[in-house]
Amino acid sequence: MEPEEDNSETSTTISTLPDSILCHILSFLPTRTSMATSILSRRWRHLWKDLHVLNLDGYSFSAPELSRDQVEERFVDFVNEVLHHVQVRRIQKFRLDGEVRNYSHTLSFWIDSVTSGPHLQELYLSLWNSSGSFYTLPYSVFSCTSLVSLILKGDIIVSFDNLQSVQLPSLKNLELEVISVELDKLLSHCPALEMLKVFIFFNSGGIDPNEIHLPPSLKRLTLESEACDSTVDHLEIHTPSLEYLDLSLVACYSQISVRTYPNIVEACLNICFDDMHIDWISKLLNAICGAKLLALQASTTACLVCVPSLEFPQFCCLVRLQIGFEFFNSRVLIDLLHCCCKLEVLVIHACESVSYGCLYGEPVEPSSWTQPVSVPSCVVSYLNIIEFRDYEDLEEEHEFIAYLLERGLVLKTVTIHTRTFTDKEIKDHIIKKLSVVPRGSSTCQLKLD
Amino acid sequence: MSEIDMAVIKPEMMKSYIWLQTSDGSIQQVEQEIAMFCPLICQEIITKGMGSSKNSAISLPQQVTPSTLSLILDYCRFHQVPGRSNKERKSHDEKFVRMGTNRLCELVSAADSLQLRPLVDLISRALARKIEGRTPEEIREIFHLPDDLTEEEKLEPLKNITDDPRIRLLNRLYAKKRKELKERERLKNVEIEEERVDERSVDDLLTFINGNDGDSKAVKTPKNKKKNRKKKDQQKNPSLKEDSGPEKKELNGHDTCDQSSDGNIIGETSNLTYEEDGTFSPKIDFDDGDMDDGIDPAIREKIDREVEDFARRINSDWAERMQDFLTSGRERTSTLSATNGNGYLRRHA
Repeated sequence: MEPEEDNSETSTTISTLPDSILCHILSFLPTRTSMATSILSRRWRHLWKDLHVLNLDGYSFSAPELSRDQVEERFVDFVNEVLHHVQVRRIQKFRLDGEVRNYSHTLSFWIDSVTSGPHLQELYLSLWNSSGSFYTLPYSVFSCTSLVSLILKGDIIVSFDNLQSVQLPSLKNLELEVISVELDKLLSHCPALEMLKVFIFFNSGGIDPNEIHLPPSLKRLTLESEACDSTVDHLEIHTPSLEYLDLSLVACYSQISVRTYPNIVEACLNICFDDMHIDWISKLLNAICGAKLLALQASTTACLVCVPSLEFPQFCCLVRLQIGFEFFNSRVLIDLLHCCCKLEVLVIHACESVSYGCLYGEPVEPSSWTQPVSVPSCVVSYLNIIEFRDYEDLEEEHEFIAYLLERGLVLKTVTIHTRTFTDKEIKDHIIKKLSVVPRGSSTCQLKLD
Repeated sequence: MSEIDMAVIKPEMMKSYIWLQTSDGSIQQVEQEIAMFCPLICQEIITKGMGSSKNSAISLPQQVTPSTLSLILDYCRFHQVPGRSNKERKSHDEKFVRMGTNRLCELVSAADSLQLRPLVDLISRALARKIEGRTPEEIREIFHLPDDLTEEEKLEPLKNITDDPRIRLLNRLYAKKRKELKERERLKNVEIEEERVDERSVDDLLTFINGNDGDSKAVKTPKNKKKNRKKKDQQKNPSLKEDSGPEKKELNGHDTCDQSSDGNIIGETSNLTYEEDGTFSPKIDFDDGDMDDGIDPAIREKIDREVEDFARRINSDWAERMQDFLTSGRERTSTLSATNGNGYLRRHA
């Protein structure tokens, strides 16, 4: 029994709750568990059958003595059982995780049954396949007019032929982590889409996201592309309502077309280091200059380092900046700080790995510390939290931190994390060195981890 | 609350107070801003103009006692502040639900009556966590549930209680037809198909459906890890603990599905679900289409084709398969949708 069990004040028990609430509680459990509650008591015997949220987890059927096929069988029998008892046409959320490679016909039947209901709002399918074959989904998935959220993960291929109409007028959330997908065709039929997350593993010939046009209603975009065996032509992000952008591009995009995003709040950029990207990266930064939160991965920073003449836009709303480096470069960082007049939080990751594009980057010249001509205004008036990860006590790093300690007049906390397995002696040495630096802020606390 | 409503209320809303009456009759004053977080109260104020004075105090649903109201207002007070980060909110919520089970029940009932959806979800999740991973005895103890099912009922929780003779007849016919089809397929594909023997005993079948049985000590089953393409991990929730291996004594005495050689449902059992050959019969209202007891020849053909496809796929290599798929995939998917709607449930290879 838990220590908080103090039931003296009330005589309400779960049994006094109406069926609707009990069913709501069950909807947060895996369906297998909900089904099992039917043996708890008479009241609970048929409760689970009123569920209109299903969470079917095939992995929970595995056991050491069972073969994969046997596990699949049991899972399939289980799902058949569930769909038998619940009111299929009332299902609002349907989630299935598992492997059903021997039962693709049955799987299609389940999906068709569920999508035929007028109330289906959320569909989540995570279908993996250890044998290397893949699943195709019935068209009913893509013509389910009530669907608000569609999440597909696994060994699935999404392709359409011209005869089938894709209709997803209510879809607001789309998440794809599949082998490949005809993305453009799919997106062109999602006029209300607000959140899009796509992880592309590899491109196979014939299915191409060479031109991706995003619906203008989009507010949140996460695009992660691991496809590095092809050059993608054109990525067009014309989404005026965009609030959140997360780009992780390992592929080489020769052209990215952006507009300004007046509503942007947060952006995370992981643009692989490639000549082609350097061309448009400043355009991208300009487009997101209204962001409040910005995270630049090391690859992106490498692009910026490569172009010393790059002019950063003014990030006049930026409150938090997270920046990663393969090799710490204080020049680029100071340049950036000059453009962030209201920055309050600065987080630095000094030893991140970089993904290289089709062309390998030239070896980076080691940089060194040069005293800035003028102090960035945010350092004087706004910057109050600094975090430095993977600090190696290089001279440039030390000088940078010392500079901020001296000039930062409103600093509250400066936290240094050394790399793991750093000796205690070295840590002590670092602390000692930094402790003697005169601090511009009387409230500034220096911590070492 | 619409923009217009807000505009109308705003001038009067300088820290104004609203009168609320709880189930015990007592009346209290609450900051309007905070009370408005509850949709029901919001509605009362806007559409009925209640709550502005002690005499017109909004009378809250009877599930809302003074102590629950106080807790609910604490919740509202925290969350109605816009500047909080998601982390802060989550951390607050985690601490908020640390209370006894009965109190949680009382609270969820009150929140539900006030239509405060986020709080209902929060508490429901907390209560769900108390169910998950526990044995039935533990759950009955935590929630004070009466153990009022007979042993027999516990073992057959999924018996179909409609007892409709039409359904039973239909089930028998379906089972027969399915068995027929399976035999034909088996004969046809005996070289191609792998041997798939259903070695499960009836007990095993009942076991996994029951999920957990009576007094068995729970053994947590290990998870089958999915193939991870990326660093992202998928969390799997442990299900209600169950005995996955050996049979339990109680089950042995209640074989409703007799083992028979021809695999039909035996007797008048109205258990729709378990037949010896492991196939399932659909509920009568599950089918949208025709109810003729034959199997649609188009389906049969499609099944045959799919079996052959599958066999072929196994034997060719990846690239070939990929190519194959891309060209033939189109026809296949279009036939699937053409025969959509037939309520035929079948397990096959």
